[in-house]
Amino acid sequence: MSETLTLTYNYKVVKQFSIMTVVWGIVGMLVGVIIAAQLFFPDLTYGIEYLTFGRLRPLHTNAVVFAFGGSALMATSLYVVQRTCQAPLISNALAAFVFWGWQLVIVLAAVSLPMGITGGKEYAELEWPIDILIAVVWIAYAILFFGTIMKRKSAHIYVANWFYGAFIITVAVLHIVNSAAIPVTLTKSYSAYGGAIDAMVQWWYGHNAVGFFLTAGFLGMMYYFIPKQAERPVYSYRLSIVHFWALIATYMWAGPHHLQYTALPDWAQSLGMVFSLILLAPSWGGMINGIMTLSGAWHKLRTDPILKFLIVSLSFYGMSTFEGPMMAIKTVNALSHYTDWTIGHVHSGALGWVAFVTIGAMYYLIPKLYGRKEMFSVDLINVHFWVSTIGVVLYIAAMWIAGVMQGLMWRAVNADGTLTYSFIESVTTTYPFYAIRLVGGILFLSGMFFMAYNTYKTIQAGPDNAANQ
Amino acid sequence: MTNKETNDISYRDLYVSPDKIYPRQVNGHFARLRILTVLLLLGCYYVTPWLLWNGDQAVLFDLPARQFRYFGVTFWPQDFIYLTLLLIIAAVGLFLFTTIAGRLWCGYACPQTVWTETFLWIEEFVEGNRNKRIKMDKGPWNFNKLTRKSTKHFLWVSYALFTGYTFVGYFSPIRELGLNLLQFNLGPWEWFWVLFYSLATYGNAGWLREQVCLHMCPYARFQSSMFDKDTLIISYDDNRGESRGKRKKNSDYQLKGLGDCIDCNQCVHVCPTGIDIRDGLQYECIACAACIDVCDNVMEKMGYDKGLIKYTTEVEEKTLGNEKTLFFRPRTIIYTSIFLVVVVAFFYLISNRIPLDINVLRDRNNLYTESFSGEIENTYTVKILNMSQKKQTYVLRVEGFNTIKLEGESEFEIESGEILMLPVRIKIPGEQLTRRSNDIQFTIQASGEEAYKAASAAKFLGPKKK
Amino acid sequence: MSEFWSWWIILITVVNVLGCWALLYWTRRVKGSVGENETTGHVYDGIEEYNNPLPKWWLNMFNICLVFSVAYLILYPGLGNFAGVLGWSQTNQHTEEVTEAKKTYAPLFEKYALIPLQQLSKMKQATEMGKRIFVNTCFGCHGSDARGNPGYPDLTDNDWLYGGSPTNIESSIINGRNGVMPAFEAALNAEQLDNVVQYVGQLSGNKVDIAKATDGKMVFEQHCFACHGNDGKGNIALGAPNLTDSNWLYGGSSTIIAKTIREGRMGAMPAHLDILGKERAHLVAAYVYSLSNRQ
Repeated sequence: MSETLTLTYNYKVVKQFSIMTVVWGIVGMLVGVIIAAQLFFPDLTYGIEYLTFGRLRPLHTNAVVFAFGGSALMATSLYVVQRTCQAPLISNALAAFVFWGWQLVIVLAAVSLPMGITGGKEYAELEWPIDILIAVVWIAYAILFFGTIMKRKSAHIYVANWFYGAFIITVAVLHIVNSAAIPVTLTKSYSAYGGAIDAMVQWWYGHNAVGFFLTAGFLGMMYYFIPKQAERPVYSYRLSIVHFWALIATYMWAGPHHLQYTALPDWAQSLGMVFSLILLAPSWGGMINGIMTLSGAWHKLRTDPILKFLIVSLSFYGMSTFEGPMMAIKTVNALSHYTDWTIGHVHSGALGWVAFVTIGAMYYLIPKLYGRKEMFSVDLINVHFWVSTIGVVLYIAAMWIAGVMQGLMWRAVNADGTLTYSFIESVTTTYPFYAIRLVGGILFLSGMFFMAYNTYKTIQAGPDNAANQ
Repeated sequence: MTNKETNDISYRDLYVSPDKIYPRQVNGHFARLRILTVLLLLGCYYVTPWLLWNGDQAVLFDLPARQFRYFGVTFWPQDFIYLTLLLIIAAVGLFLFTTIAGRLWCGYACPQTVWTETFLWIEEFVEGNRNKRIKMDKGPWNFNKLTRKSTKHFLWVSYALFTGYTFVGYFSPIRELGLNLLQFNLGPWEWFWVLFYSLATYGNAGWLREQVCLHMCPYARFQSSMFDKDTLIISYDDNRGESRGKRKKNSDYQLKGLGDCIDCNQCVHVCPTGIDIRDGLQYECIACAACIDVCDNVMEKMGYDKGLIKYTTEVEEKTLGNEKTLFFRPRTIIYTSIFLVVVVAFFYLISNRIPLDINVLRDRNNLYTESFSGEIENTYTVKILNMSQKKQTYVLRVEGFNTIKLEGESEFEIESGEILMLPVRIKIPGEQLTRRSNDIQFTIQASGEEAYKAASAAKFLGPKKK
Repeated sequence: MSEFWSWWIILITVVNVLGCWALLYWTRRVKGSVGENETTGHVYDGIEEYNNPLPKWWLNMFNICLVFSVAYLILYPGLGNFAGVLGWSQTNQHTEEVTEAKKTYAPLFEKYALIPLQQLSKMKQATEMGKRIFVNTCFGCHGSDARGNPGYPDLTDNDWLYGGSPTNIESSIINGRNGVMPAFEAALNAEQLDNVVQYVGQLSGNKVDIAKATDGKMVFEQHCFACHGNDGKGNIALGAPNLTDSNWLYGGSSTIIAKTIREGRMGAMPAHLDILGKERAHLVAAYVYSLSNRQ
């Protein structure tokens, strides 16, 4: 029955976004490796203004979050929504608009950020004309997604779609509110908010970019691809309800933990900390549901590298969502904030959770889209897995310890109460850590090249008759 | 309506406390191995902070002073790169050993396993063996149950408190800490950590136990993804065991179509995570090998061959031992090489560590000064860190130009663990400078200790050449 | 924050925390018809759903987090304008930490405050403390090695603009100094200026045009002696430098001397009483004193 339906699904846009996921993954991580190298070799780019750390860093974050992560989310959400609702996308033209619109946003970002055109808000650097384009594309994406849900054949909506839906709605709200600005010229605008309020709006946005873009969206991905690849039912339907509502209700509050001990009023700091702590429970709810779903397919882990990617992503999700609430506690934050521990934490989430679950999902999705049973080479997926895990280990080990070291050096005082070290001394001491981090980053990036090659060969091989029956 | 729902017995609670697991104590090779590792690891843990080195606590991580003493060597925050290497060694080691031998860590060395094991000993000591414990838990509360339970918890709490105290003893001199603890005279942080660590020990080893492994531990997930078909696992031999069934000793069970498994359920009773190993590889299995020991004992009693449950690999299992486990395979070779590289790097670096460091900070405000005699001057603050455990005399030099003069002290004494701040002025004749920014190098040498030297590069700024 | 917004914050916070509880207890009861390892009957693209029970510890953990939050919001600020039972604020915490630090370090500084400067300058720990403050506070003008920069005197020699006695040094640090060399551009013509430059050069023993210098002497005695003295040895009461040695605050070439006379100089040493406090200033003074009075 579903075979005849398959023909009417719009896979074109899914294919486009999937390929761009791999492409932008390489681009984003390459820029990451370049800026990691700049921290070790400060003169690496000969002071060329377009390639300075300050301009490439937002390019890196935008490319990995919105280009790589965004393409992955759009690819999988548009695939999952069609498959689980048994309804094709409502409009192919709108789908094409979303794809090309999003790619245009990314290209504009890749041009404007190195030119130094920036709104100056972290993860929301793009200037107002691009912001408007993002809003338009995003609304089109929302219409496409929810329109398809409205036309579903089943009575209920599958849990993955709730997460995708929450992600789409919230990101629209976050983006529009935070990007509100007064344009001065075509390339310059000023935030509509002032002072501490601006900071609060920015981090309300910033943390929910993590909470909804990088968590809720990818949980949606997890809820489809883990049961699919493991061929197991979801462990607990009721748990998915509880942790969904608890997660989206509490994530909204967590932003102020980025502004502990600042000009932000005390009450806002406390609320940020308290709700971040509560977040531990719903986050682990998601992790438990994923892991227990896999539990019946444990023996498959030995042979199936896609499951390996997925299970490791859940482990990292569990670790990061434990670490995050701890770091939100004021006392801990006073030590960890502004150190490289934060960078380690972000990357344990970004590489360990987001990238791993994406890679796993793509290795499932790409052969399906191109009518093949599996990727061109399963061994290469295995190699990718090893290389990435070692890369992540090096990266995180280096940044965690560097953070602790910096925290210890910054707060060291002499017997008379003066500071023992100046800031620059902690920077020079961090050099070896930056070297290890660079190696870790290069390993992770090289894994992506294996993926690109594997993808290319899979697509080139064309549909496999055996898989189509 | 709500009333009706509540009264409807077809509703049940979404949350269940897992059935309590009463692992039975086992004797055997692997049990002995685990007891040995438990004693060894806990021995190290509890004894280390009491050791002395030249009259001082040998291992003391003095956080306020930022000095980490370890058997005659003092590590500083600047040495934390070694910690990173250790962490990488641990991670790669975990990958390597897991690939080869499965969840070796979980079964023998994990603190969760180790402390749970000792908590179980206490439990067994107070409440008796598995059967007695089950019976008592099912029975009504009476004097005997109350005494035994409270004794158990008292022992657990005392043991946990001692564990918490020992933990803090790594960071605060353990002898003074003990006296202060007895007088209830600890600082707020000491109290917090003693109690927190005690609570964590008591909660994890006494109550949560296998729940930590089943749901919370990321390593448990991680490790399993390192498995391949040549990884050692604990496995029940289906072919030999099935079909299982009870029988009389010495009866010809094969006639009845029975396998070697007598279905005594001993393997289930000893399992600390409460699984039945005969159901195959499960994520709950922490590879403690208790089921191997107990099954071997049963097989021995029955007069059958041992090894109905044994360490094996997927390859040997599937091919019935015809295909041998591949020990040297790309993964083990690559992991081993990375492991060895990092281990060698670690030991090389740490054995060549020089307890001396030099930081050079150029004065920020002034680019350079030109003296009347045409010399160009730059001012620096040199910081010299005596990271050794004794007082030293040092000589400071500067190099990089034929004529380069250091104005300021160049020979000085620094106490152990002290940082000397030394403002100096460097003078270079103007005609020697060809560029605005020039490289120079400061070196520091301990007198009498040839190997104790350190260097730091610095920039020397001069005027722009016309 | 106005009363309205305060109540608004309280309301949404309470609703959210209680909402979590409500959610937990509302969803707690599951229809028994779906037992363990039985699916709900929904199928989505081949994916089925169990309704398995969750471990109780997860519920306990959730509850503990919520209870902690409620307790925290009672003890600490969080609920709108309610300041919390403990009266904590980050400003208070900062004040407390500063007070605590002062209490910790005060005895050390108080001990040294009572010791006369000359004696203190021979105490290593004291001069090390003074040095650290100096390198942090004074390096910008005098250089971290205290050897000075153009316009800012060298503190390691024995040439003192305002005197090198312990009292003088301490007073310079605590109260600051203002050394004014007026501009003579209007008072002197080009020839007079040139002559007096030659004379000043002669004072410090440089080779000069004797005839011009002799004429310059007259100009000097007319215009400069009031501050620098007839013999050019300066006056520490005014901070007028000694012109007969080879130390030059702004530079000793004839061009620079001419510029100094023409345009004047404003030397300002800011008062450091408010920046350092008496006790720290005393230690810096001891360190500075030790620099020019080495054994």
